[in-house]
Amino acid sequence: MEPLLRIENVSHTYHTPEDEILAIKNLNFSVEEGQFVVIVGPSGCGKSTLLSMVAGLLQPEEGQIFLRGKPITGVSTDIGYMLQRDHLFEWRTIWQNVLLGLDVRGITKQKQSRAMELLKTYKMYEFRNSRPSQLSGGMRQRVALIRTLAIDPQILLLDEPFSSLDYQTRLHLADEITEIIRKENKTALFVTHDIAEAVSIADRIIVLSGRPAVLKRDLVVDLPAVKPIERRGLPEFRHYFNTIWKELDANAGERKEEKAALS
Amino acid sequence: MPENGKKKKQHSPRHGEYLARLKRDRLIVSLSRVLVLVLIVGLWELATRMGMLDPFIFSSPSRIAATIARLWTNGNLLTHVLTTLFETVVGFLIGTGLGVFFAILLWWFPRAAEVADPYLVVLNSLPKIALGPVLIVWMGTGMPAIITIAVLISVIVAITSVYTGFKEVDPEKLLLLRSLGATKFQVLTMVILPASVPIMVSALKLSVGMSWVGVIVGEFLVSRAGLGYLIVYGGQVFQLDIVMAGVVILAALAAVMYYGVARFEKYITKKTQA
Repeated sequence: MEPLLRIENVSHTYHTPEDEILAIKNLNFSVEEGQFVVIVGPSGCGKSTLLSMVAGLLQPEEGQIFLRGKPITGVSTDIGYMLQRDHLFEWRTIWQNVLLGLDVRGITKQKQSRAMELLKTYKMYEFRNSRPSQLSGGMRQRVALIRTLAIDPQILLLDEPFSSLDYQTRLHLADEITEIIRKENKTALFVTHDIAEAVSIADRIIVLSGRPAVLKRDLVVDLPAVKPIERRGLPEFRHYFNTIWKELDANAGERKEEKAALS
Repeated sequence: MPENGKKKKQHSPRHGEYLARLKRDRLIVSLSRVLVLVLIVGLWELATRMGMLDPFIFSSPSRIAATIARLWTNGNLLTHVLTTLFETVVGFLIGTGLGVFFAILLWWFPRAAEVADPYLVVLNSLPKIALGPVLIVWMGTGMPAIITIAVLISVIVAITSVYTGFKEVDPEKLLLLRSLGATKFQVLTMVILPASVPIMVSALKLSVGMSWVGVIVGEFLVSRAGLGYLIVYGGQVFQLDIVMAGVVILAALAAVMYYGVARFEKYITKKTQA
């Protein structure tokens, strides 16, 4: 059966007046429906580039990306993109912020009531008339997720959504957000450079190397689907952590050697 | 920003001392401000009375007050004030409005913005007043010429400051809109414009000052009414009392208008931004 998302021979180069930088090299993988896939890699390895391409904001220079067998050629409501920072608009109330995607796409009664349901289910209803600045960082990110879910996408792209939060809020929000995504039965492609975070939330982890990003390891995380914070306490947690750590570290070592050879 | 919208909380005596200290400091500054004014006016008056300054050349506070009263009862002071006020307000509203309009055009057509850049730089540094005589030839010696000078002076600053504001809107906010499939027009109306409201209001504040300059210079050059006219007229008939009266009224009006716009800016910023 055709997977939900298929990335096929994708390569991408960035061009600047000074240089061209190969960001992604011949990447191949697919994501099955309902999977929670986490992409781990060092900072600046092209993870965000990959998400931009899946979101249809950027066309890969080589290769193609398919959603249910159809090539992605532009932005669509099948894909919900959640950015690092919440970017809630201060001139809109929480409710109006949640409706942003629908305002852009055209509001239907049905979609609006769905958005209202989400707001109620995830305990943000009482804040619907508040301004973003009145909410805590964690609550804001939850609203950002609801805003993304309101357009009812088939796949969620999350670009280090917890990285702008303090550690405690991060842990709490990881619990909440994974719970919401699992409950809503969404497929997720989640990008992070935090190994522990990856192991605590993923069904499957894809390890990318530093620039240019190539696929180093594709790993199924065989841990129970419990809260991320509980997963962190499991004995197998360390095992996965170490495996990925070694993978990334070997990679960093190679780069060091390369640099040494060059200088 | 702490606001007094919240109910007053109980606080410790030490906090009370701190608040009292704050209040006292503010009071000292306010009183000193008034004192400076009283001192200047008083010394000026004293110097002219004691013969250290010639009141015919330097005027004096009492003579200025008398002149203002005389001009008022003669009935034409109000006309002068209203004329200048009208020209200034129309000048800065049109100036800011056009500024926002051109800034939108520049944002919409980045290529055009790049082409226009050196011209804007030159126009920005050119003293627009130099174009005054040209405008009089083109537009005649009436109010339209004066307002045009005011608009010309304020519009360039408005364009550059608003356009810079547009470009400083967080690119990730634009990315968010694009990922939702927004059109360029939606990006403009849903992010760029609302995010730039404070910048537009602060451009308004800049324009107010510019517009005053334009209007007064315009009135110097042409016109039969307005404070600029009054000042030039006073100079020509060597009545320094009239000149000073004009300047004092102008200062008061400019201050009131500036504070009005500044208050408006504060209000808007609080309403739309975190």
